[in-house]
Amino acid sequence: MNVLENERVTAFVQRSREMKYVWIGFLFFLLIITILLSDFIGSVRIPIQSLLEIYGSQIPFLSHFVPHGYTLAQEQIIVQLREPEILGGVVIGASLGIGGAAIQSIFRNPISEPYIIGLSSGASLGAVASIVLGFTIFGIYTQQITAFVFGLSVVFIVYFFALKGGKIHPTYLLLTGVAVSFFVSAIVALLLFTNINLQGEVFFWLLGSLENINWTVLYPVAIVVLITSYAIYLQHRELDAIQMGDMHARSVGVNVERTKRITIFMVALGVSASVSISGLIGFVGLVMPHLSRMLLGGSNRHVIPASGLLGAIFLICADDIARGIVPGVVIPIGIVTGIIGVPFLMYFMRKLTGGRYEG
Amino acid sequence: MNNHLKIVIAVVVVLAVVVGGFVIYHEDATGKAKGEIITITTGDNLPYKLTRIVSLDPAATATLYAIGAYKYLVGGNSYDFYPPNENLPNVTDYPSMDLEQVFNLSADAVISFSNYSRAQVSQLLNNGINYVFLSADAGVNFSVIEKQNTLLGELTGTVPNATLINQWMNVSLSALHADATSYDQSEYNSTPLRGFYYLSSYGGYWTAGNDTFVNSYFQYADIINIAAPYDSGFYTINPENIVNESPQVVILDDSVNASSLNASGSPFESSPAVMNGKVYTTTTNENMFSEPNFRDIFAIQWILFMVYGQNPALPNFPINLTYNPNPNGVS
Amino acid sequence: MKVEIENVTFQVPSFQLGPLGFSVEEGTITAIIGKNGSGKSTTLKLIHGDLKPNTGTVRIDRTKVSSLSSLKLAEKTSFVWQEIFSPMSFSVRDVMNVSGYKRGTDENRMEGALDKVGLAPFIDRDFSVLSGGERRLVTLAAAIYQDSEIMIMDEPTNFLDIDNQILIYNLMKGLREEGKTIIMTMHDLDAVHNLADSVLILRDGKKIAWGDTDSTLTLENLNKAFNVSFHTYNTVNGSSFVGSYNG
Repeated sequence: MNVLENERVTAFVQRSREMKYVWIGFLFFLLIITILLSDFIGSVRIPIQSLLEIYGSQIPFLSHFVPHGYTLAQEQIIVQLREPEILGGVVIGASLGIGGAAIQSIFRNPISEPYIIGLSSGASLGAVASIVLGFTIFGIYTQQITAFVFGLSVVFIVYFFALKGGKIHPTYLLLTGVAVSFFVSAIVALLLFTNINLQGEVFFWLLGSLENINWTVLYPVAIVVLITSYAIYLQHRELDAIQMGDMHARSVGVNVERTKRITIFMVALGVSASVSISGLIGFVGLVMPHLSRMLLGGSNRHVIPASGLLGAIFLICADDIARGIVPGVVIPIGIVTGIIGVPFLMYFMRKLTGGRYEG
Repeated sequence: MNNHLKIVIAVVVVLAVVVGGFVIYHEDATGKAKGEIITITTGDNLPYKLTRIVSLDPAATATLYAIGAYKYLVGGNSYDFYPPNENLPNVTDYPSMDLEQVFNLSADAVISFSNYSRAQVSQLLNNGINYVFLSADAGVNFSVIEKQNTLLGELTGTVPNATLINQWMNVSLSALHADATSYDQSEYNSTPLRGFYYLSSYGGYWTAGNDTFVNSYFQYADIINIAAPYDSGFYTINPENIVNESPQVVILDDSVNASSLNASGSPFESSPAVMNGKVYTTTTNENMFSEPNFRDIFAIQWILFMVYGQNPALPNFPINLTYNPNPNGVS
Repeated sequence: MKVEIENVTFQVPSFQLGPLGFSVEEGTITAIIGKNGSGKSTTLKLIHGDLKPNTGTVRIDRTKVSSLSSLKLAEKTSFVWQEIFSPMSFSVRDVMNVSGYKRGTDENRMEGALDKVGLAPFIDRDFSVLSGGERRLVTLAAAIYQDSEIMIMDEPTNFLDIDNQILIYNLMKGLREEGKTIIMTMHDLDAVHNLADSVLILRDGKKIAWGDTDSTLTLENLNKAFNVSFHTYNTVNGSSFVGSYNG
């Protein structure tokens, strides 16, 4: 990239950052469009008129005035299969993006993500244990509930191991998270090793998938993610301060330990809930905050909502590809986020950072 | 508590109510009765007969054809071998079943042998589609296969045909076992041969252990399954056990390369089976070794034919079918 | 607002500070000088409550620092740190906003504070692409924007050119006239002499001297503190100049 082009790119980045609210509005609009268009994608083709009629029938009061020229099968496909899957993508993508932004601020580390505090290994242990040991204590949603509970528990264990004199040091928390994750992953491997028949089932959980989401599981998770995301957003000024160092944050008036406690708990709650119904979907929590910072600058006031919106849009698109690329076959979404997402990220990093992460 | 937080809580509560109402609306949207999970343990617990079946189980597809219920199938799968020339839409069954296709076919039941996720099964049930699970794992023997036949007969209103097939199976099994015992007596002085079934070389020496339908084949053919004492179900056997047991007969799935058995370092290298050329690859009848159903009788017939060089006769198949169910070239 | 340090000691395995006792009057500039590792920064962190003393107390405005909430502390004191983190993709405005945590955003005061260090046009620049000196000026502006009674500064003129150093000195004088109390560490003895009302001299964690600048900044004390011999030079125009390098 020559100097002139570099300057042009810098100027573009500058301009884009000045239009922060325009960007957030645009991303919101893009999300709505993505949701509506994604309802067309699937192994069964549904005509646009039927789709519009099905939409109309779902709006209370209006439903009486809309013609019902669609079949029951079409309604089931849209209402019971595609809509919860797409809205699940919104909820999970948003929670991962927002969680990533918050965790990166706390660790002041651009390569951290929500999974780093032990969440992913804990949730895997819960999911695998429920499959291997055949738990049925919570009925048909035992796997989701155990994944959620274990994910949350391992974060607490990491947190209390990392607590030293009432304070959490980012590096210590990071190392504890990595160490505990290794330990828990070893237990997961042991469970898999002793039960080879289940490797296939667990493998698909580890790669993540949105297709097991139905309204019953989406409802509670959406509420949890809504509340935790808003709670994280309310911390945006504190997180900005912590991003400049714990001591500086304290000197400007931030209660650093309280902020960390609230944020880690909210991220753990939201992301555990998401992961419990989707399996492990990587990449979103790591990358969407960076993309947001490139487009909108580093203040969490904008980074948090933009990461959520970008995470949702990205995950829906990845799911469309996962469902659409081979008709009828749903590729695990983790494969798609990796293969398609990473080159896309590389391109943006080169194009838009203009050396900002080098200093 | 400041005003800001109060507004936030109010907004969250309103959203929760709206979303909740939306979800409750969706839960009742279809207005259909819930589907049931049906196995040989539950039996036929439906007040109606199935007429729109999606079969993700090739063994069940063959059985439904034989009992005269093929006309009730609206969807098959890409592994269906029998009957040939199938013109049903293939429903995707891996890594998960394609619910969109199932819904689109307005199916009233899905027949499967795979452990699909609970979430997928509950989607079927919530939309009024029954889930018929026919196990193919450890524990499936000829008695279980006969129960599965009866269950499919009950579900489709073809019990008399299912009963005829079960009777034919019982007569055939007795006849084959009597034949095998006499061949063994005349050729090997009543000392049973030691056999091994080599299912797959992918990730180890996959074989059929105790409590499998393939193990039953060996029992009726008067052959000792050397893999049975070590584990049950389909599993990977330690090659040291193969060397130690020195099999006299090896039956190979056609995915396994026969020449790999002679390679140096192979646990079969110096086994009597390889030395005496008693290695038999399943080809046209391969699916009979992977699918538990009535056609497994022909698998035993084939084993006797290959191992003892005899041609055991079977009673006539009780139902007149367009496509001969016996792939061994005899009826 | 008075800052009172009473009999404070602080101990880590390889280092001991104190006992220290002194009190800083409202509206004055206090400089802490000494060699690297003599405990200057540690003293500032003890005053600010970032480190807890093993014995003794620090009081700001007659309240123990250890009992202040971070919000109350931020109202009374601001801190200009020696090391500056480079936060991911922050603009100068974002950095300033962080210092406005207590009082809330006020665009006019923010621009005024940046204008004092000559960086008002930089408000939308990316903080991480600024030079070390520019970043230092931004953090000073941020501390001014925080608008607390007491300003603690750890080497505020590090990385700065001569002209910007002088800008900062004048800025400090202006802040003192507004009634702010400044406690800082500084290497430039010339500036300390001209700027500070009181001086604390440390060596290996021990207090060498404390008092008003003229009576404390003596050749004898400096020689003790830095272990080199200082001389007084008379410059061409007749003023005196303290220095140690006579090459």
